[in-house]
Amino acid sequence: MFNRVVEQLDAVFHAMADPTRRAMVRTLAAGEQTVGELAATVHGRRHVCRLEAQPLAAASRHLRFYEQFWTERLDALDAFVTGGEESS
Amino acid sequence: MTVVPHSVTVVRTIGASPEDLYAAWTEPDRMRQWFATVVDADVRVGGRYRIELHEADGTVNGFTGEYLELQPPSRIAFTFTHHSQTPEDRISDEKVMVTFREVEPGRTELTLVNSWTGPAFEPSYYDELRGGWEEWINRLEKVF
Repeated sequence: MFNRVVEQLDAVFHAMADPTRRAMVRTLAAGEQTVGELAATVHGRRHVCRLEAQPLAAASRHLRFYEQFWTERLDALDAFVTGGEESS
Repeated sequence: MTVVPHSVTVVRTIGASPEDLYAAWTEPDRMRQWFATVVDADVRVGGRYRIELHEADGTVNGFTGEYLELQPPSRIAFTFTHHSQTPEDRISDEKVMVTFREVEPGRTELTLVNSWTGPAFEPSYYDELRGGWEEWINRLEKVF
């Protein structure tokens, strides 16, 4: 299960490193588009594209809670280990 | 409603050695100075812990779990369940994995992955998701 999550994140981060793809995601976030509307090349058939945000599940309350929780905790850890409390 | 894997990943580079960070995560006296107000931890593989975070507004966030992996000074994994969780939340298999990788002497990259299995979203969540995506893309653009 865990490996699947990591693979999914790897795939997403790899894809999002490309500015064109980020622009496409932003367009799709506003609503579904045909491939033609998205890429300005249409050959007869309409391929409708939709943003499948579910795999990232970026907005669940659970996820937002933990995102904030761990960010705050790591801020505190950083302050603790670099704030003159160095060990041994 | 199906359940699917979810995760939160936080990566941070901190000016400390992996040994210092490992100690900060595994010695209760040190954990009390940054991680939680109350720390009751039996730090060994299979040992259990209970922590409480007393927030300034009076909220108490409590968690319990079990240590799954303790590999000094590079890796720690434990189960992690919020005390307010109920079976209706249908959240299971919650884990936290923390790894420390020294990038140069005295600087360590910490990667934390908090994963769980929980309900997939219903269509009504998508408006909220859209906002999340936009915020996420904005953040990404600052990074690249």
